Amino acid sequence: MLEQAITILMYVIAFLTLYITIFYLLLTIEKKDEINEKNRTNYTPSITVIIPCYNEEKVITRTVDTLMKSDYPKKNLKILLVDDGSKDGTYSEMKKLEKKYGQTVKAFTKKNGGKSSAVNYGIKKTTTELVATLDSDSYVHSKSLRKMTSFFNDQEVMAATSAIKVYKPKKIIEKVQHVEYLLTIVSRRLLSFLDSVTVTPGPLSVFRTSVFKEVGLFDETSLLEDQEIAYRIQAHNYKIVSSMNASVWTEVPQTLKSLIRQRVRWNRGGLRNYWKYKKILNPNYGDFGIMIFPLGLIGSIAVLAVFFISIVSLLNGSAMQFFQYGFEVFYYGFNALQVISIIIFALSVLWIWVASKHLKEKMNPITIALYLVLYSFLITIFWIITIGEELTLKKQRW
Amino acid sequence: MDVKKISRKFSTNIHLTTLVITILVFAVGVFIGVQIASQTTSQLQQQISQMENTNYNLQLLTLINSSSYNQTVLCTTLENEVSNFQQQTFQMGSNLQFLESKYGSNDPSVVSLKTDYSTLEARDYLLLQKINQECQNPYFTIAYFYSNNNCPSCEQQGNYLTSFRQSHSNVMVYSFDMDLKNQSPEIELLSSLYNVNSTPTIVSPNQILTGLQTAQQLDQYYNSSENQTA
Repeated sequence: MLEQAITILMYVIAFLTLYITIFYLLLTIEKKDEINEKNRTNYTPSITVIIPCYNEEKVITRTVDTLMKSDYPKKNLKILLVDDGSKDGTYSEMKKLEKKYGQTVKAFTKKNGGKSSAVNYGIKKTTTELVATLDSDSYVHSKSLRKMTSFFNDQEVMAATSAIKVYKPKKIIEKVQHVEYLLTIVSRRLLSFLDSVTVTPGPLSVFRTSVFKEVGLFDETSLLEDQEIAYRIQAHNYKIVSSMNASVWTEVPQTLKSLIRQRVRWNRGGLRNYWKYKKILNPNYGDFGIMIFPLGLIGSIAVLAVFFISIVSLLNGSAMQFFQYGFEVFYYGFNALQVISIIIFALSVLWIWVASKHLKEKMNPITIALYLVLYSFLITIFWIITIGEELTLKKQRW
Repeated sequence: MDVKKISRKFSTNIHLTTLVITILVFAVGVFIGVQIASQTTSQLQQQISQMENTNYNLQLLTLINSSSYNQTVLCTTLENEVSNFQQQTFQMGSNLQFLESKYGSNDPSVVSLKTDYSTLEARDYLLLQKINQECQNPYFTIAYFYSNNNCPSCEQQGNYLTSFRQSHSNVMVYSFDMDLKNQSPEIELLSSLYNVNSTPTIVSPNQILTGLQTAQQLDQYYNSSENQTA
């Protein structure tokens, strides 16, 4: 009975995964002309770039210098540096920058209250048409701001996300994230065609300032504030677009431990945001409500289900059968599920390959295949730790 | 008012196309999977038929009148042939066990293969009895009657028998699934011959043992039987 239920569940997961893979492939083909943002207009309204900082004395100067080298008209650009109660010399570095760049750069300091509180502090001081949030350890391409603001020529657009890339990936763990970030750029661009962008990432996002009057400021209690605000904007039926060409480089975790810590925070924050905005799970939200939003949770459940099934089969000894019966049985054990899994794997590699063509980034099919295998393994680890931490937290509360 | 809301849409066309393609690809996957599975079955069926032929040949050898032939040569030939045959039987048993765990013991192709395999095993078992008579008991044969249903201790018994077989080179274990009794006249014959009414039951050369027998107990039976033979 349990075995039958597991088999049915596996086939359901296989069908859904196949559906999603084919959906993305078709969407990529259908939007092949629009995806590269060729019809961009030149729109450079007044913009304030808020950079929240906490103990960033070493990087803040480089970040601001890079931004000042951008091709954005300086008369329309304001940079607002918010020191969130740093313990190092961040604020004095900021004051130097204020002096260096005159009217364009303004520095403020406040009591420590977290990243969102620093961003909100900046938004409250913003008087420009647009407001951008930029992480202090992110480096913006000189043309990126202009590329992003061009979207706001369309009055429907309330937020735009950038193309976040890994800053000089060297270690394997950074290279894996590099591939992941590149894929996220394409998939987020595709999702914007479905009005289904689920995050306005911290490294660089641009908002129409007036949207905060409508939906409120960043949630200072959220573990994942950049997703929370995106869900909130979506819940209000405002448009978020995504750029594939407005590059920004960010530092990523360099060790497995720090990567796990980051992803567990994302997962835990994601679960809370999901629960908070469960009303989006509704046909009234179109593609977003029916497919993309549920996918966030279904995907996580599928990861856990596959993990659970693996554990069950390991306990039943079926995973040990290769050792027990030898490799000859591999062929005999081949069934429909394995065939479908291979098809899904091949289609995923194909999609990523097609997607990488749009990015003009070199990615050979072997790297892609390795990435898929390694990453599915990592995602499972992230989710197991997430669940573990969630359960521990409950105990502590009780 | 510069804040405009969007009107949400559902991309019906692309979803319908995706659904149709997904169903088609899924169906192709299932079809290929089923084809491979059936090919596997027919391949195994073929192998069992070939093994049946080998078994016939061995039976023919035992028919040679020992008085008209050098018995030592005959027995050495038989033992070599049996040893080769046993390796094939063991691999086939493993493959079938794997298939059973994969598709379940009620799967029609598994039942059909296992029935044919049981027939082969029964013949092999009887053949070894005959060789034992002719060649001064080179083998310690065990007929093991088990069931996959209603026999909680059978799995454990199987494990004990595996390690028992591995620790004695002349031990030959033949497993008979009592759930296939109705499909296989050979299992029916052997079980009635030894009055097997419950599982697990082990028929060793000089005893019929019912209920779970530990590896130590099996060793004891083995040693006492070997002493008797000596």
